[in-house]
Amino acid sequence: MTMSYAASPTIHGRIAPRGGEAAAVPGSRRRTGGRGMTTDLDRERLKTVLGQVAAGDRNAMADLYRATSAKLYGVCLRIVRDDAEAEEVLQEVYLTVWKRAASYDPAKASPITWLAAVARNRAIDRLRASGARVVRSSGPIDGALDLADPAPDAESQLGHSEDSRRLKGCLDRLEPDHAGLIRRAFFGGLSYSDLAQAAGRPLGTVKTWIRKGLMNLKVCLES
Amino acid sequence: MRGPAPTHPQDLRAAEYALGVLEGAALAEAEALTRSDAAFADAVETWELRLAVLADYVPEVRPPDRVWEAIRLRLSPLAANDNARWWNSIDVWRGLTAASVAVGAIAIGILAAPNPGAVVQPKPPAAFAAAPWTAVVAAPDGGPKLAAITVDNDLKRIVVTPLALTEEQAKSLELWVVPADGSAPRSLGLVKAGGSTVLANVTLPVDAKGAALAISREPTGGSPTGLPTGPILGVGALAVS
Repeated sequence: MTMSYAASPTIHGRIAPRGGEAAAVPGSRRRTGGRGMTTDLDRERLKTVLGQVAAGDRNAMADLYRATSAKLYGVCLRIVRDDAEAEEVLQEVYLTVWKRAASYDPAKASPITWLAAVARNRAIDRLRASGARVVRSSGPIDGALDLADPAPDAESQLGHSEDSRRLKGCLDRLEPDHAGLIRRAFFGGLSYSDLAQAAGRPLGTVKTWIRKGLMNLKVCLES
Repeated sequence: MRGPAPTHPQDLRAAEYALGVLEGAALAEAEALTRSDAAFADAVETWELRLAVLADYVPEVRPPDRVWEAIRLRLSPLAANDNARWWNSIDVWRGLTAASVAVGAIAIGILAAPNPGAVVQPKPPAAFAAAPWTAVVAAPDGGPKLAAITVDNDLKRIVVTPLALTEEQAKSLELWVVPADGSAPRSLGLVKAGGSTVLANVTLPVDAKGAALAISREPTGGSPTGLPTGPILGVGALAVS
């Protein structure tokens, strides 16, 4: 995937308002009737829907939620590991999307990738704000439960399966230790020091592995 | 897709920042760079999107229906912009009901209609002889009605009649219009608590249809930023009188 560095409003602070906009969403928990969950919107349809959301279309927002909330809730749950917290983060994610859909650039990523980035950043923000960024294992990193590496959805219906396959191929080419650390940092919101402690490795080693992993990932993804 | 991008000299740092592993001085430095160096911020964005594909490894889990319901309730038109945060802290929009509009119209004494039922569904504006718009600003959650306001664009005049406004020392009360399109609130001027305020030579800078008025407490002289900075005391929808 080629990326553009063309001048544009930066996504950081937009996708990832770290600490900046961490106001908690009051938990409005009114119940409502069931609604069907469909995941059959393809990439192009999602782009259209995101455009409508950017224009303030509430029906489009409902479509977007139906199509993507299971994926994003899965991401939130995986990161914050608490149902109630994940529900609140999911609210924040969609309210962020509602406000910032106009900043989505189809030239840079598929809609679901952009949405996943929003979800991940919000969830990590929450994790850090709640002080829950604990190192869960002092043993070898590969033994940690949260390194369990669930298989990607067999057939993603949300339109980034090509990106996903490519990334998976590139991750598979990394040293398993390097890829494992990257995954753990991604889902756990862990700093270098946290990772070193969790992996029982020297800080320098962890830094070297992550950096090598990231650079090899880049080379692979851009090849 | 556009052409291959040149690599930022600090691309590795951008990757570390996007992954979230930086700490201490390196983290502070990267945060500062995202603000001062647009190319660096772009590199961070690129990495965030690259790494986000990792989310595809996570199984889907259907969230409870209450999550969407909570989101739906918060999708005020106001939420569709970045400057709307000021109202997020208090759910002022609950006070925005047809009833409060109707009661307000009566309070102002504009409605001459003998049938109170007519109050609930305001008449559409006449094509000529534009009727004034009215709003009653009420505290959230069914709280007290704070002020009744008429907006007469023809006369370029806004009249604010306090119903339950209170002054605080070293503070001013500021009137805002909250546009229907979700753009940022705009100041209309300062208002008094002790008696009616007439804002002369003021017209609504936005379409009144779907817009609302709000009153916030600001430092003396009004908000220094041009956006509400203090607590929003109340909100009321504009309706044709």
